[in-house]
Amino acid sequence: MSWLAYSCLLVLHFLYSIFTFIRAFLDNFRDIPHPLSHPRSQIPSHLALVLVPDDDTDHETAEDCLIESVERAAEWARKVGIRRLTVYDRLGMLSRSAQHIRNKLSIPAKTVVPDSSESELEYPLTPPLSDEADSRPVSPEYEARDVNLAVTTVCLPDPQRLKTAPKKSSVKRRNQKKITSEQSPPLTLHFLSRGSSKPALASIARSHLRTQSRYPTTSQSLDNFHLSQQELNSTLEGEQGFPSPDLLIVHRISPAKHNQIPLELHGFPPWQIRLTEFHHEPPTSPWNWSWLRTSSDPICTPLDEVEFRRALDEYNRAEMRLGK
Amino acid sequence: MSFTFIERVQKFARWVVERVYFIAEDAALAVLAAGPIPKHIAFVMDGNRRYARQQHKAIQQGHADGYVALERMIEICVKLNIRCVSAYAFAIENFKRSKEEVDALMDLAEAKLLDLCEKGSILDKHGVRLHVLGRRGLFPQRVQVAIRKAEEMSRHNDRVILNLCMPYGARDEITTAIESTVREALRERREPRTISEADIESHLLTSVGRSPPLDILIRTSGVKRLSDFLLWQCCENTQLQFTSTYWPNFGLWDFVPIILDYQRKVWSSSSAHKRVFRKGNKRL
Repeated sequence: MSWLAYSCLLVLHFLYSIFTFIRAFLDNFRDIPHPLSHPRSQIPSHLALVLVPDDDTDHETAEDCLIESVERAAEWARKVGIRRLTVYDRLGMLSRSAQHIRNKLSIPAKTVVPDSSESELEYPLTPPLSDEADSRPVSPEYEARDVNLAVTTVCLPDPQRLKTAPKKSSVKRRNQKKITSEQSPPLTLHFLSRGSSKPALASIARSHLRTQSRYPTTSQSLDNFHLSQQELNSTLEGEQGFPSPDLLIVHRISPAKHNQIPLELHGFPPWQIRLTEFHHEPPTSPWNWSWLRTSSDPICTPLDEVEFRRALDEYNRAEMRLGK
Repeated sequence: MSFTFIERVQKFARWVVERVYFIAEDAALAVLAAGPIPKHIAFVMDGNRRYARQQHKAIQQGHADGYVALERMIEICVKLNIRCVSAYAFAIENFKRSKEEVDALMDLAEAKLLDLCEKGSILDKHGVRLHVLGRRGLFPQRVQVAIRKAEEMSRHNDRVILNLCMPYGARDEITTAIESTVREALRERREPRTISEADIESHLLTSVGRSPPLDILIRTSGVKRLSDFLLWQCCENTQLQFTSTYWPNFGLWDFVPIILDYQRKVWSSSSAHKRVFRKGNKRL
């Protein structure tokens, strides 16, 4: 009977494929999402983008496509008023290309390390970028030595403002609220990889162990070691880390093998996605599906504006109840 | 006389429809079980209150119907030989709800946990081992007693693991896991460089209960967030499925496409591995 059940299962999968094919085809005729300039009551202040290449994709092609996706996302984010953009790819191709992306997006650009209170500290131009910045104590007792959160942060001032504003060489602290109507808020970019995820949490554990190991170990001292969510959060979302995104878009840059692929997070840091809204779209163009193409060369599809706008519209409709 | 005859015909027709439905359900499950089956599925049982409002029922009734849906899905998962089921029954944040609703949920939790201890309950019938994951100390004493009783009664069962996450928060779980990792390492005098993510993972509540890795997380009611549920467990190789169905209405026919998606992933992965091996492609 198992062969009968298996045969029926194959038939069921065939019917399901037809159903999803038709649904994907009809998705091409969905309502067009509102334009970027459309007023929305809810706009994410922090957007995350997970870019997923295929294992079969050529490295160089994938990297070019990832970079193009980031450039597009940065441009649209600025237009909409999103002030923070986090981009993640599992293998860290974007982190390694952060300098190149920075140069392309903003000339000249300044590297800053924003804190979570939204006020910004500007340093004089001092490349290179660093993803292993020296740590700072988060409490008098604990010093986050050698914590490696593997987050590369870049702050990009608005290119329009840079053309007209005088250069300032001294360090200054700028309150966000004092930005005039002539200035656009800068865009902060965080580049993440798998190393920013669970390995970062392990790095924090090692750091705490090093701190605690300095003291004599007794059963009482073991019981006295407590780690609070607030402390862990201040490390992960602090200067070396990145804050929780409001909206996360998952985009596959390689053609899919099926027309219905559920959302996966591909190792995105778990701590920061507690209340994040997710958005991903199945591939709607059947002619991109790998099994329909005649050419053996894989094509890459950067993030497109329609998908971006649709994510914003969906976020605009989301209701946050926060447990209530 | 004719009225009684009509009633009997209607009753017979309902019985036939029910039998056909049960046979179709069992047949569908047998067909699905012929392919790859996930080992661990998690449910965010969202939408009980909106369901109740839609049906013009009291909120408490919505939660009660939600429990019926949970039992229904556990039976389906057992028939599919799914090894582990996790359900987000109560978030730490849910204590912010009105006292009336929280008290009603505590009453429901106590009553259902005691029901689970009875002979013939779903735990007994299907060999389900219950784990309650979360800060149970936040619950009233009566609920804690009911939890201990249900866990004790089912601790020798080994066919299916049922994780009821309540009151649960994933960040709380991760924080506690890191704290436990550091304490254990201090006790064992381990070198810091030997601490890895695997150590933290071993101290998670799901690992302590020997749950397999999470394959699918399903959230009902159309919300596309995790809301502090199994963040560590679902950020890697887990399919996240969001359905607009409210939880009390969720059933087999909502579940079938989710299982089909999982099977396609497993079959794709195995054929991708063979293709890469054959072609010797340069992999990322």
